Amino acid sequence: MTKMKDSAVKQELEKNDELVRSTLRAVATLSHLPEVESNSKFEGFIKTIKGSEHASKYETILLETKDASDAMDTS
Amino acid sequence: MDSRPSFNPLSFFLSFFLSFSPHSDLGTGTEVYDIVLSFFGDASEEVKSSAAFALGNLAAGKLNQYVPKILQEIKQQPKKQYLLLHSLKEVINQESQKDNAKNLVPFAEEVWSILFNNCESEEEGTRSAVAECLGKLTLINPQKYLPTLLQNLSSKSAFTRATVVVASKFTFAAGSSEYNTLFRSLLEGIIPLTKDADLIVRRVSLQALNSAALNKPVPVRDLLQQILPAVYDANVVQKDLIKIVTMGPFKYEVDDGLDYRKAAFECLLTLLNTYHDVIGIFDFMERVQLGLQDKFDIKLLSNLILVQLCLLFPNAAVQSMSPHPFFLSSLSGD
Repeated sequence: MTKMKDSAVKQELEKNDELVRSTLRAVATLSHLPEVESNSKFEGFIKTIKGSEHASKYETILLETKDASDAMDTS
Repeated sequence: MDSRPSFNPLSFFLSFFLSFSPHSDLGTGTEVYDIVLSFFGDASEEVKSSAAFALGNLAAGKLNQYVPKILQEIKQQPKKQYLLLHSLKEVINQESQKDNAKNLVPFAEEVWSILFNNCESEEEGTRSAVAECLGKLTLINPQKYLPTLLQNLSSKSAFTRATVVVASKFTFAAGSSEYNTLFRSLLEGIIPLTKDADLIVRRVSLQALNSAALNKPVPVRDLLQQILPAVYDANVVQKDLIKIVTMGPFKYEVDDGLDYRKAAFECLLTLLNTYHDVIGIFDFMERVQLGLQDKFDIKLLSNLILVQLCLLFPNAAVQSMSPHPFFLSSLSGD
């Protein structure tokens, strides 16, 4: 019974992590856009994320998506 | 061969045996047929599905000899129908690909009518086997059969409507663009079914539109001004489909509209990728904002859509997220 509960909790955590990553990926892709620079509100959201528990995940994803957006520019 | 199950001596034997059967003569046909058919009653699902596959392979070589028997069994053995339909699917698969399906043509009429009689099965598995057979059979003579599919989109039976829509989905994926005019009519018939009284019909209709959007750009472009509003309407949560279920001390929500809303968001992604030059971006963004606040699967899809939007419409993407950071709710575990 505990085992079942544990695996259900584990599954829930994995799902949550998947969602967090997919969201951070979208935010990071947005943040690479030049259109964002003049947008103070958006910069506020990014600050919130950078000050949250997701900060280190966000930094990693930021680097990954940077490569992707650079590749787009040169193509 | 995906249909080949994991190791089981009996199913291995059947698989081995069927790999020889289409073009070789294995004893008298009746004996082999009866042996294979006897496995339809086996306790193991693996053996049963191997036997269905084997029977299809056996019949694919010799339609005259076996197809009438299979059709007879389908009519007389309702319990074995599911397996027999899989055998039939194998026959149609193999025969529709060679010599303009000339071996299949003499049987097409009868197979078609038997398939139609089985459209209304309550088993979703049976209906999906029927739909795949109907779709493949349609493509051996689209001029003749596409109009029949169209006609049956307005059947009184919801199961028939669903089966015919799924069959249409197969034809969008595999049919030649030569028949675009017919595909256009079929699409026009499917669009209103995204608001069908039956939820299964709504879901499969959106899936069919998605398949058309991926595979048949010419008719889809033509009808985009009808398709977009239909998809947009399906993106919205419908409160009347949400039920509160009580289990002991717990109460939780069951959203019967979730599956078909998910299909609608899948359409949204396809439409963005393929028709971004003609969609009105602001209406589109509104749906993405809704999606970012929806359930798990839809949030994931909406994030993907948002990433695509950054590449295609950076201004709109930034502006639509500025007044309210819809994505932040996904980060706080709401």
